[in-house]
Amino acid sequence: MDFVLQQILNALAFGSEYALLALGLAIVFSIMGLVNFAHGEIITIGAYTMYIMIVMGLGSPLLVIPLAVLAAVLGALAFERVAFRPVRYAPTSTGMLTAFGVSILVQNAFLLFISARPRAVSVLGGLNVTVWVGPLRLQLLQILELGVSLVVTLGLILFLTRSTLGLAMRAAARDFAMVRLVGIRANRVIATAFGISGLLAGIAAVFIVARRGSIEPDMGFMPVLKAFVACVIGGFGSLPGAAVGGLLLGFIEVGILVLLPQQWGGLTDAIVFALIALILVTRPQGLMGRNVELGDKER
Amino acid sequence: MLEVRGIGKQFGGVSALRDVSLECRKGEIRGLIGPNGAGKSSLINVISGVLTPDKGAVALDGRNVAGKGPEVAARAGIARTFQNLRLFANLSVAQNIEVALTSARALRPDAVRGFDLHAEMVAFSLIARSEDAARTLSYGDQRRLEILRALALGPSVLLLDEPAAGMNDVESAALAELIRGIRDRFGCAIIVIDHDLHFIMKLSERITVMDMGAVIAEGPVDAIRRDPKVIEIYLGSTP
Repeated sequence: MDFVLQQILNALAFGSEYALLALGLAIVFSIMGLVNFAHGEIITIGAYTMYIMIVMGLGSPLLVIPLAVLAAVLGALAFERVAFRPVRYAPTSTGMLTAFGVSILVQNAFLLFISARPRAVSVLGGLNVTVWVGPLRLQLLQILELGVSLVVTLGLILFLTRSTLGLAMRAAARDFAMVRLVGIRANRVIATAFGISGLLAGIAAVFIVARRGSIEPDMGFMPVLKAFVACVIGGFGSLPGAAVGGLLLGFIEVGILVLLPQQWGGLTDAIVFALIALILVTRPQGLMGRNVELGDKER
Repeated sequence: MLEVRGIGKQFGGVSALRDVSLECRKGEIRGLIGPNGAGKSSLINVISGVLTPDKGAVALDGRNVAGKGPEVAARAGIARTFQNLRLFANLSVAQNIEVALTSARALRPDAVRGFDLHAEMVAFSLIARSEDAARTLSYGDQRRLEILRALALGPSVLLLDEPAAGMNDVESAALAELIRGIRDRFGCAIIVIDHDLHFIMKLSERITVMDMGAVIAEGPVDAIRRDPKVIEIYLGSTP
C-alpha cells in the first residue's frame, strides 16, 4: 500500500512538472500557432540564474528561487520581443525554425560563457528529504511539486476565466485576428502568453534543478520534449489537454518503470512512445483537441 | 464621417481595388454591391485595417487610419462583421460581447458610456442564450451576435459584410429592421454588403456599385436602380 501511494505521488510529481511545461507550450501555441521549442531554454535560463547567483555568493534559496523564476519570465519576454515578434505573421515553419535558432544560440551562450560541463547547484538540496505524512514516508520535493503545480494551475484558470485580460486571451486563442479587430493590442496578448509560459517554465526549473542538483547547457531539451509529447497527447493548443496530457505522461512513465522487470528498464521510453502512438491512432486530434474546421474566407 | 479616397490594392499583379473612393456620413446606411470578385470585401478589409492598401487613405473624421492595422481602426471607431462568422465560438454570448466592450471601455470610454449590455441582448433577442457558448446558437442568432459584438465597440462606422447571407425573407426583413434601429439609436455610419439586391435597395439610402475592383456607380437607390451599367452587370436580375 505504502509503495503504491509513493508511486502515485511519484507519477503525480513528474506529471505535474510535465503539465506545467506543457501548459506553457500550449498557451503560446493556442494564441500564435508557434511551437516554441526554445521553451526548454527558458528552463535553462532559470537554472543558470541560480548557478550565477550562487557563484556571486547570493546562495539563499529565498533569494535564488524568486529570481530564477523572474529570470525565466524575462527570458521568455525577451525571446518574444527579439526573436518571435519579427516573424509573427510569417508561415508557422519560420516560427519553428526561429525557435530552434534561439534554442541553439542560448545553449551555446551558456556553453561558451559558463561551461560545457555540468555544474553543481546544491542550494535546493534541502528539498530532497523524506518526510512522514502520517504513516507514509514521502519525498518533500514531490509534495511541493504537486502542491505548487496545483496552485499555479488554479491561478491560471482563475486568470483566464475571471480577468478581462484572461477573457481576451481565450478569445485570442480562438481567433487572434478578430481580437485585434475589437481594438485589443496583439503585442499585449502575446507578451502575456509568453510571460505566463516563462513563469510556468521558471517554476518547473526550480524543481528540475532541485531534483538534479546540477545544471548543463542542454538540460532543457528532455523536459521540453516531454512537454511537447504531453501537448500532443492532450491535443495541441488545448490548455486542459496539456494539463491532462502531462499528468497522463507522468503516470505512463512511472507505471512502466514500476511494472517492468528491472532488466527491461532501458525499454521505458520505447514503450511510452508506443503507448502514445496507440492513443494518437485512436484519437489523432489528441484526447481533448478539437477537430479543426476550415472554410473561413479570412484565413 | 468616413471618407475613403483613392484606394488601390494589388494581389500579386491582380488589381483588387483601383482608385476606390467612397463616403459615408453619420446616420447613413450605404449599400455596397457588385458581382463576386468586385472587390467589396477587399474594400471592407482595407477600411477595417485588415489589409494595407498600396495607396489611398481611409479618413475617419479627418484622421487617416489606412494601413495602420486592425487595432488602430477599431480604436478610431471602425467595427465590422464578417461574411463568414467570426465569433469566439468557445466563449458565451455575453463573453463575446464583453471582450469587445471591455476593450472599448478602456479605449473609447465616451463612445460606450450609454451601452447597456443586458438591454442590448434583449433588443437583439439573445438574452435567453446569454450564458450559452456562441457555437451552440442558431445561424441567425450567431449573425445578430456578431453585429452586437461590433456595436459593443461604440463604433462611428459599422461595416456589415453580407449580414443577411443564408437568411430567408422573414429573417432578412427583421434584420433590416434591426439595422435601421441601430442607425437610429447609435447614429453610426453603416456600410452594408449583400448579394440580395432587394434587401440592399430596401435598406440603404445610397448605394455604391463596384465591378472589377473599381466603383462604377454611386448614388441614391432610385438612380442606381435605373443605371444602365448596373443593369448590365446584373444581367438577368432586375433590381
